[in-house]
Amino acid sequence: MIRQVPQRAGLGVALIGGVALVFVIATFGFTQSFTVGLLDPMINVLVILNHALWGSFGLAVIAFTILVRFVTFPLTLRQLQQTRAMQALQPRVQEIQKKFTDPKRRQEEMMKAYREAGVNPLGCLGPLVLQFPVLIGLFYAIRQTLAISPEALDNLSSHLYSWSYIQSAIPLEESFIGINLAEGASINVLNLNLLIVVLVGVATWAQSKTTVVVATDERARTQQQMMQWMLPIMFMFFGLSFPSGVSLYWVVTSIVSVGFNVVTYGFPALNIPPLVGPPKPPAPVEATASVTSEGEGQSRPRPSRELRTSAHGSRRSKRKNRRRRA
Amino acid sequence: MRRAKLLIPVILAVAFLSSACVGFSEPRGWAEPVFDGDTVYAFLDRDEFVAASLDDFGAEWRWTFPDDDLDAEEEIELEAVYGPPLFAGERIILAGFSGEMVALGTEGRFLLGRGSWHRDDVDGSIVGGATLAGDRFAFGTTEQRLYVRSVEDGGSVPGWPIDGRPLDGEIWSQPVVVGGTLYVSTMDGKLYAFDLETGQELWAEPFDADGAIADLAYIGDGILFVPTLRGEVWLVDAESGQARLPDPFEAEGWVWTRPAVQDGIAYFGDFDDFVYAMDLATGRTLWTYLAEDKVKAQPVIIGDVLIVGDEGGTVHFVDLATGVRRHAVNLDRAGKIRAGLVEKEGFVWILGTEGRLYRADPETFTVLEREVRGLP
Repeated sequence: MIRQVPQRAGLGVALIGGVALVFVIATFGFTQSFTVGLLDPMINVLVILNHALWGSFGLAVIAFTILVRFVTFPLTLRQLQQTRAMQALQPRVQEIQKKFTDPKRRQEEMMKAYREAGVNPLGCLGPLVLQFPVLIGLFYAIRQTLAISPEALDNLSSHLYSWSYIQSAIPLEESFIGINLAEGASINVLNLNLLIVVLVGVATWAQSKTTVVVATDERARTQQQMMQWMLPIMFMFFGLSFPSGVSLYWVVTSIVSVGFNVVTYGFPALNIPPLVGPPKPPAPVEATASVTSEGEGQSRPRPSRELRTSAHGSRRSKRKNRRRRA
Repeated sequence: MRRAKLLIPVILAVAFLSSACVGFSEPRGWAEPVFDGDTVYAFLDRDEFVAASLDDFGAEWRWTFPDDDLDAEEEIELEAVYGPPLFAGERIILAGFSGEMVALGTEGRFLLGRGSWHRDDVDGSIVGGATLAGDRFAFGTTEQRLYVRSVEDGGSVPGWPIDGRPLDGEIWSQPVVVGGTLYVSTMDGKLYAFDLETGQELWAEPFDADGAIADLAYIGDGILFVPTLRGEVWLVDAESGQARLPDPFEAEGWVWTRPAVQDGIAYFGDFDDFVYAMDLATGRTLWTYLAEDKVKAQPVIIGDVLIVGDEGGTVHFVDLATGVRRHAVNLDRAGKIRAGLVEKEGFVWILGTEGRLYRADPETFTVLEREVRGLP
């Protein structure tokens, strides 16, 4: 009962938020909603930070990226915990896959295992979906604010609030510790812009390395390992094409992600334990803790009265009331 | 779950790539067209410089620079051009956002040994374009350097270092030359005056507008029109470098344009869609007109009509005396109107960012596309 109230409240908030979001997008269109609701505030905060941090856009990008990552930390933490719980469940998932040949039955057992461990297989998607527009908005905000061409500065004017503090901050300083944030890097020119592309690769690799791998079989594990190398190369390639300000954002956000990963998963290679505990399962269901065999499934052990009360209390009392009425 | 984790980098990658494709910040240029007799010169697409002969129906294409079939021209990369071409005797000088400059023959060909030259020895991008002053030309770059070079070969001239004169801020405006004085503004809000021959700074202190100056104009009577991205306009005495009025004119949005001036009144727009008539003697607003989008392009006065182009692609015909709209025409295929409007023989020529040329008639309030026929 105690657990269900916040879950339902959360669901209600999510539902109201979702309806409001759909209404706003339907009224103003996706682009306008994204611009006014997310991009413009981000751009203006970036400009304010730039002004506050001694006119250094590099420091503004670093501060803003860290700020956004910490504001969205509860979502990130939830996602990381779900991933961790999923990984912990993998031996059992593999056991189920070996044991059951009937897909329907296998699915049922899997779902049961997930439920008992307090894991939602799609649980990481919600936080991801919520974070995604923020990350994309941040990327666009940095790119837009850098104003790498006269057209970009012209466009930037449409996004700025008319506050004097913001207006007087324009144009922004593009140079940061020798890096031209508005320009990309070239492999033919050895400079600090190229260094930041290398940092993009290193940071992306570190992020992949500290991320928990949820793989059910050897093939998937091999793919994951391949991605650990492919992703840094891919992002370094992007880093060559994009302004260094965007690369700086990527380096900072990756470093923050590494920090979050270490806090949540620990780092066994350096004997660092996780600092945040795993998500609590709904209740210890003793009778279903082990995998039942295919034949046994017909007579499922009933949860004890006590367990039903704690985990399904409200539903049971309604049923009881119906019986009473009957 | 595994797919979900892979989803992040994949979607981010797609977003990164798609944003690159959108190219919202790619330099495209906004140089106004230039007329020489019956020939129109215009940048129809980034650094694609076209000459065409005007006729009753539009214009007949004559040549395009660079010609990709010519190796010498293919190597020249101007990227985008924001200032008008300079006509210096038998040469046409172009200065690009890439920082490269080229001098062509009047038939638009790059012919080494026959007056043409190509230079890429400046630091930064050229945004405002160059200004011609006798046998030399001046321009500034985003790397905070002011250059004065020789028309003859693009090289150094006495009084000016070949690697430019460092200033306090980026230079986005086209320099202004009045008499023997060179005026240049910076995005740091400073306005400088130099002796064009000696390179000596003329004012004890540069004028400080306290806001980025992205454009600059001399409007006669010894007055420099100094607009800022803080939405202020200063009138600065060209001789002394002091403000003519104690307070700046205050617009609603950024002012990044040059004015049209007639009878002591300056007409210009801002980035908050307003057009102003400003009394130059008092700095007072005589009237305001609300356009439909940002006004970047310099307007034109013909008779008693002010013709204004906004970034929404709308051409406004405004009563000069009252600021009342007489008519407005939206050019849905023009793109944004950022290049300054140009008056020629009672008509106004407009170049949109989509590379189409239009001719507006202030008597009939009509705007017609003048197609450049025969483009390769």
